Amino acid sequence: MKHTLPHFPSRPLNAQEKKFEQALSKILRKDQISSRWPDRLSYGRDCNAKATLWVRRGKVKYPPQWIVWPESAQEVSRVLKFAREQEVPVVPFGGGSGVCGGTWALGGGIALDLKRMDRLLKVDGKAMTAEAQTGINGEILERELQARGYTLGHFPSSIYAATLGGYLACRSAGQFSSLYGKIEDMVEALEVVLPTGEVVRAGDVRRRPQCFDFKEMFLGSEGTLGVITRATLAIHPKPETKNFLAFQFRDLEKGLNAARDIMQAGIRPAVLRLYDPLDSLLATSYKNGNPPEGISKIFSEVFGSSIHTAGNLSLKMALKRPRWINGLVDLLPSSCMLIVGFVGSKTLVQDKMRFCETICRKDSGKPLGEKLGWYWYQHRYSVSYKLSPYFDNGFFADTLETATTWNQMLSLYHGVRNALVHDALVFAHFSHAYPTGCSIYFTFLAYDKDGEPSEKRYDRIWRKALDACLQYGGTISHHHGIGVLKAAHLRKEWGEAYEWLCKLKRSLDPENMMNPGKMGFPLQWSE
Amino acid sequence: MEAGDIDPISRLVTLDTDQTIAQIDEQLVAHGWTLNFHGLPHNDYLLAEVLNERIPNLYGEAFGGIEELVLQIRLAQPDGSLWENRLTPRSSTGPDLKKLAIGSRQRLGIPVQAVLKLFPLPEATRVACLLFPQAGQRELFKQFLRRHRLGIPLQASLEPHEVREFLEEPVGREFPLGLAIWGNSWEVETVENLLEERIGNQKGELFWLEDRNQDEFLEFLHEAAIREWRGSQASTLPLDPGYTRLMKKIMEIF
Repeated sequence: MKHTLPHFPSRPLNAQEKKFEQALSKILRKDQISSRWPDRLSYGRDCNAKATLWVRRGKVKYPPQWIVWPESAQEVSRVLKFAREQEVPVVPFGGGSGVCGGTWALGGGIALDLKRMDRLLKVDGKAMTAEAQTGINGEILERELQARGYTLGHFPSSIYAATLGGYLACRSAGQFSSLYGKIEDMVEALEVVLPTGEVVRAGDVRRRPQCFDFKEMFLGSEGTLGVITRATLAIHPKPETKNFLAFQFRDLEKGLNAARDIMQAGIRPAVLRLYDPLDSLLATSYKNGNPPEGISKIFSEVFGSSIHTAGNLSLKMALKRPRWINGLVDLLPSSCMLIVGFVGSKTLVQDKMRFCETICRKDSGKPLGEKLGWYWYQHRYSVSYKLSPYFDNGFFADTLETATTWNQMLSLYHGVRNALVHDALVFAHFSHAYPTGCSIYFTFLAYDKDGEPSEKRYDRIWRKALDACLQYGGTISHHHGIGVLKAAHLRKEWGEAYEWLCKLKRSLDPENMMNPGKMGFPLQWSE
Repeated sequence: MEAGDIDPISRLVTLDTDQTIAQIDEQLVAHGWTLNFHGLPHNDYLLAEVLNERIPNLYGEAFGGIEELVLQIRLAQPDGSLWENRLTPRSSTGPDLKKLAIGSRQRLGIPVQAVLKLFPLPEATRVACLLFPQAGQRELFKQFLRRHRLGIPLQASLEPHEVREFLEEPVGREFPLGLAIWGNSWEVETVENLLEERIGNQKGELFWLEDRNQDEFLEFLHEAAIREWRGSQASTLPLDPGYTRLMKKIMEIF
C-alpha cells in the first residue's frame, strides 16, 4: 500500500517566544531545550484516536512551543517557577501513550518531558519496596526489577511506551491487577514538585493513621496539580511460575456468574478476562482447533481477515450500516470465553487452577484447556499495534473502559452497547475484576468517511457512551483517565463535589499554568 | 439494619455512620456476613469516627484498611448538599475523593453514610503457634509472610510464658509467633499448607490449636496483637516539612 506522508506546515516561534527561550536557557542547558518544529510536532499529540485522525490529515492541533528535559526535581522546580513568573503553561509529559488527550498543549507552552529522570534508585528486599524516578519507562522498570528477582506486577498494555509518571498521573491499571492491585495499591510515597516549585514528599499515611492522605491527591491528577518526580513502590517476589485456563460459557450471564464466583472465592487470579460473544469469536477463531461454522464463519472471515488487511470491502460496507451489523452480532451463538491466569509458586498455582475449574464447572463452564490463555498471554501487547491498518483504510477504532458493581454489570454492558449500535460496531470484554465488580472494556469500530463528519461522529459516539456509563451506574473511566476526551463528563461523575476539586486546583495552582484545560478545568480561570 | 441494605451479589452493605462497628457486625452476623474490621485499639468506635480518623484495622493485612473496605462515602455539607463518589470498585477520574475524605476529620464534610465490602462468615478458622529457636528466624518468617502477602488477618510475636498454658508441648526459650487465619475452606487450607511447607526453612515448629484451646488462644491473640500495635505507635515517621506546609495550605480551602 502506498503511503503519502501528510504535510505539516511549520509554525515558527515569534520574537517574544524566542526571547522566552533565551531566558529558559539560563536555567537549563541548551541540550535540554528544543523549539524545533519536528520536536514540537511529536509532542503535540498522544495516542488518542482523534489525534491519530488529525495527524493523518496533516494536522497537529496543539503543539507546545518548547520542550524541556529536566534531569532532577530541582530543575523541574526551576522550570515551574520560571514558567509561573512568565505565565506560560506547562504540560508534564511521560511517554505520550495516553489515549485521552491528556498531554495536548491546549494553551501552548512548555512540554516538560521527564524521560531523562529515568533511574531506578533503590530496591529494598527487606521492606519490599523500590524507589524510582518517574521518567523511567514501564518495561525497563519491570525488567530491572525482574533482574533482581522482583516484580512490580504492573503490566498495562502501554508498558513499552509509558513511564512510571504516566502510570501515577493517570491512575493506571495493569493486566495482572486482579492479583497485584492497581497503581494506587503499589505506591508507598511520592515526591511531587508543586506549581510553586516547592518539592514535597507525600508519604505513607498508614504509619500515621490520622493524616490526610495527600498521595491520593496527586495520583490521577494528570499533571494539573503538580509534577510527580519520584515514587516509592511496593514490589513482589518474582513468581516461580504462571499458567492459564480457558472456559466456555453458554452466555454472558453464566460467564459473569463464574467470574464473580472466582473473585469472591478468594482465589485471587492474576488475570480474569471474559469476552462477549463477538469478542469471544474473534479471540478464538481458528486458535482452538475448531473452525467456526454458520454465521460465526461469516464473521470470522469478514473480520478475521480484516484484522490483517483492513481493506476488506465487506467490512466497509458493513460499517456503513452499524445497526445492521450489530443486529447480525446478536444472531451469533451466545457463548462466551473466559480466560483465567495464575502466577505464584508451583503448588499454589496448581491449587488455584484446580479450585477455579471446580467453580467454573459448577457454573456450567466447559474447560477449553490452557492453549487459548497462553495465546492471549503471548500476544497481549500486540493488539494496539494492529490498529494502524484500520486507520489507513478509512476506519477508526477506540476503546472505553468503565466499571461497576456486579449487580449492575449486565445492565451497564447492554446500556452502553445499545447507546452505540447506530454509530459503530461494538464489542467488549470484562477484566480487572474485584470481589465487588469489574471493568468492562468496550471496543468500537466505525468507518471514517471523510474529514470533519467523522470527527463529529467520533465525538458523538463518546458523548453517547459516557452518558450511558453514567446512566447505568458505571464510571466514565476505570483506568485510562480523563484528559480532554472525558472532561465534559467529569463534572457529572463528581456531582456537587466537583466544586471542591476546582477549589483544590485554585489553591495549588492559582495561575492555572499546570496542564490547563484538562480534567474539566478551564484554559483560563475567567471562563 | 434491613436485609435490603445488603447487596449479596456485589457483597456490599449500605450503612449509616451513627452505629458502632460492633453493633454493625452483630447485625451483619445475623444475615451471615461480617465486615472483617476490628478497630485499633478497640472496636467501639462509631463508623463515623472510623471514617473521620482513618482508624486502623487489626485485620488489615488480610482484608485492608477502612479506605480499602469502603466503596462509597456520602458526606453532608454545611449547605445541606451531599457529596459522594461514584459507587464503583475503582475509577480513574482524578484525585480519589473517598480516600481523601477518609481520615480528613470532617474537613471534606460529615460522613453520614457509607457502602462497605462484606465478607461471608468464615467456613473455617485455624489458629497456630509457631516456635522459633531464635528471634532472627521468627523475624525472617514474618518477612516471608509480608513478602508473599499471604494475608494473615491476625498475628503477634509472643513471650514463651504466654503460650505455655495453650500448648501441650513444653516451651523453653523459643520465640513464639501466634497467628490466626479464617475464610472459606479452600483459603484456609491453602494457607495452612503454605505455612507447613515453609516452617521447616526457619527451623521452626508449628502447632495448630484445636477446640476450646483455639477459642481461648484466639482471644488472647487479639489482645497481644493490639498490644503489639500500641508498641509500634511509638516509632512514627517524621513528617516532611513540605508536607506539613502543603497540609496547612489545603486546610485553608475548607
